[in-house]
Amino acid sequence: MSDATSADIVVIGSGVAGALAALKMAKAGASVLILESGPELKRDEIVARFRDAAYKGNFMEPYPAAPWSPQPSFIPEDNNYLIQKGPSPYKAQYVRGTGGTTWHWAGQAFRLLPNDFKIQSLYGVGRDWPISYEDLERFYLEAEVQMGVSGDSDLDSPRTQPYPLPGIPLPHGIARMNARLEGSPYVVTIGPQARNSIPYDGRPACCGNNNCMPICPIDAQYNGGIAVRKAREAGVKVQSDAVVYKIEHDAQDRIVAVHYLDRNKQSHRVTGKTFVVAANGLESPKLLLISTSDKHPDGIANSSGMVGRNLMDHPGSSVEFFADEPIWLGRGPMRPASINNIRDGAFRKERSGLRIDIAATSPVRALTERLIAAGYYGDELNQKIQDQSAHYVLLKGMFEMLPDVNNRIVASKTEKDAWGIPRIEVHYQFPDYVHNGYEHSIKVYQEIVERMGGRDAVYSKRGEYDNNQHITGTMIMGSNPKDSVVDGDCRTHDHENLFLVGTGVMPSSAIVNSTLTGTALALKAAEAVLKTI
Amino acid sequence: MPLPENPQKAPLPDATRRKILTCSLTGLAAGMIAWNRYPSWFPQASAQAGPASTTNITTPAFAAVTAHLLGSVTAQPALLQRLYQTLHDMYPVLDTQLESIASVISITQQTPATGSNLRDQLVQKDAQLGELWTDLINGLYLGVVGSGFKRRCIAFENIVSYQVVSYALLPVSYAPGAPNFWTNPVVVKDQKHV
Repeated sequence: MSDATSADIVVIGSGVAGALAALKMAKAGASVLILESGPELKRDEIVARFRDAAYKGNFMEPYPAAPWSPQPSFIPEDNNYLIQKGPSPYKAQYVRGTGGTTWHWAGQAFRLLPNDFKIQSLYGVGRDWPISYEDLERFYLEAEVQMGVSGDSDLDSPRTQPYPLPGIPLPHGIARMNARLEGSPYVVTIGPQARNSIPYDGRPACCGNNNCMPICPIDAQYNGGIAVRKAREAGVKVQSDAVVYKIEHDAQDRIVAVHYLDRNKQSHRVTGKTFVVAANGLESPKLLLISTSDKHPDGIANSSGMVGRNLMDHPGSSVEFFADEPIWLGRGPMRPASINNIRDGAFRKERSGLRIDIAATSPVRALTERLIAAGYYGDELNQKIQDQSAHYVLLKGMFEMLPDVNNRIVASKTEKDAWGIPRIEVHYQFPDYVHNGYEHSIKVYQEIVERMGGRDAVYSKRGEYDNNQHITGTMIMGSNPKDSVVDGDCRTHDHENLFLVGTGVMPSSAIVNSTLTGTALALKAAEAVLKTI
Repeated sequence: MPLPENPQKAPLPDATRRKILTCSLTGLAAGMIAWNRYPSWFPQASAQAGPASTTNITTPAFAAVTAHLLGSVTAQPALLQRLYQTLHDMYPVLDTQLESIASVISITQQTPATGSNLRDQLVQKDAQLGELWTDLINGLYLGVVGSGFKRRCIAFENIVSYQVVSYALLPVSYAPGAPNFWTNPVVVKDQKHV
């Protein structure tokens, strides 16, 4: 058994990747300790905080940060936890607490395409992975079984077994949209979702609360808190409020301990045989960068200088309009369907592919806010809420970033948080590859708006892209130790008993949500970790 | 993001405008009647203490103004009471200010104006009246009052924005239904406005 000061395997971070890896390793007989920087998160309290939230559209509001584990927040104002160095903004959001950011994800559990692993070979852009889709397939399946992923079509990601759960059927309005798009190049399909379509694994089926973000009130949607609970049941010790601030190595470059500050700013040293850093794509590289020593003045695992570089996410464009028939978005889950059949092709030499979500979020609050701001009241307001809510459509497209060493995070030399730990500076710029993808997306949107008889269409602007919180690239995977941080097992090139897991190791961001891939990689890494003890 | 429409450029058809005006006048009149019948409900001094939380008391001026904001919709008493109590704590001379808004409404009903014109008139008269107007309508339709970091939630499941679409959508997180109910079309019943 592990205790609070030593274990076979020490995992830093209790998000879905770290917690499921810990669960797998504990089930194999290892003693595992998880150190989580944030507080314990409980679903009933999160739901209550959502219902009491002043800004219902701020998905961070139900997850208030503890003083020792600050996190980015942008509503009503930027709390400046992330220091924006530009030239483009990078407004990442993540939750520091047991279970991590999947508490407020949309549950979209896409696999990458096989071609996403070799975009340099196929299209001459980005980087190839050191592993193939086939290498990862059984770990995708393992992650899907843990999460309870529902789906029907493989969406061009070949499967050796069916989805664990049948797909969640499309809302009526979206089925109508699909019918209106028939004959066009765009096919609306049920998305793979970590959301129960039928009762599964002790959790109920989705009943359409339309509140997947920021919190599913009934646990029909999977989240990292479930992984933490299962890990505990398997014997994993989880220490919350433990902010790791230093990784210690010996003369042979083996990692021997990590140091953390507790909620009273007391420091603790934790030893282990093998260490797994799973603290997300920004906090993990920050920890590596601040863990300097005489031998490693640029930080742990950073002989390549790649730690913190190649920051990628999914910039997004959008269009909103009013269809000529009632659609009534807001019934059922929030992200049930997407247009997925235009994300790969030779065009990727020049521009990003495109994937479009139909944002089935209830529009009532947002539309009402706008109408009030415009001065409506009384029956004119009531009428417009009804009419607009019935006909409103929001499409959100996302683009692929490419790895660029100039897009990076660094640990600030001057700015520290309340516990004295350096804050994160972000250097970020959207490439032409994304802008070209944007230009194409507008043409696609225009065609869809026309087919839907849309009016009052508003298109997002070039260069003003949403961020989608899919942090990738900052601990990049590769076969060459001189230009990458980890190998195909997520083991660092520099330290044989240090593994980095989660989405931050992905060498390409593709254009699907990254959580399932990050989790599959963590489960693959767990097998390699077990061989070290 | 820009609004898809500008209310100043999209006037209602005359018949609709007349209907709305009639509803507004009816609501205001109802409030005024109550005000006259029960003068003791209306505070005589601005320093009067706020109502106890266990009592169901608002004022005729509050009733008149909120009725004007709501049109033909009737808000749940619990929402109205919560809003009144909250505003009473926020605005030291709330009842006097509500009386002023009711007075402006009464004048503008002689010369119909759009909402933004009415709000502008309130701001011109007293900037705090404009703030109160915003808190009133935000409280009724969104369940929030205040702005910036001082914004707070006073209600959710019973707010009017969800009430007017309750035949199709329920408040998020309070919307459980039969399995896959979302695959069926919305059936419109007793829909007053569309």
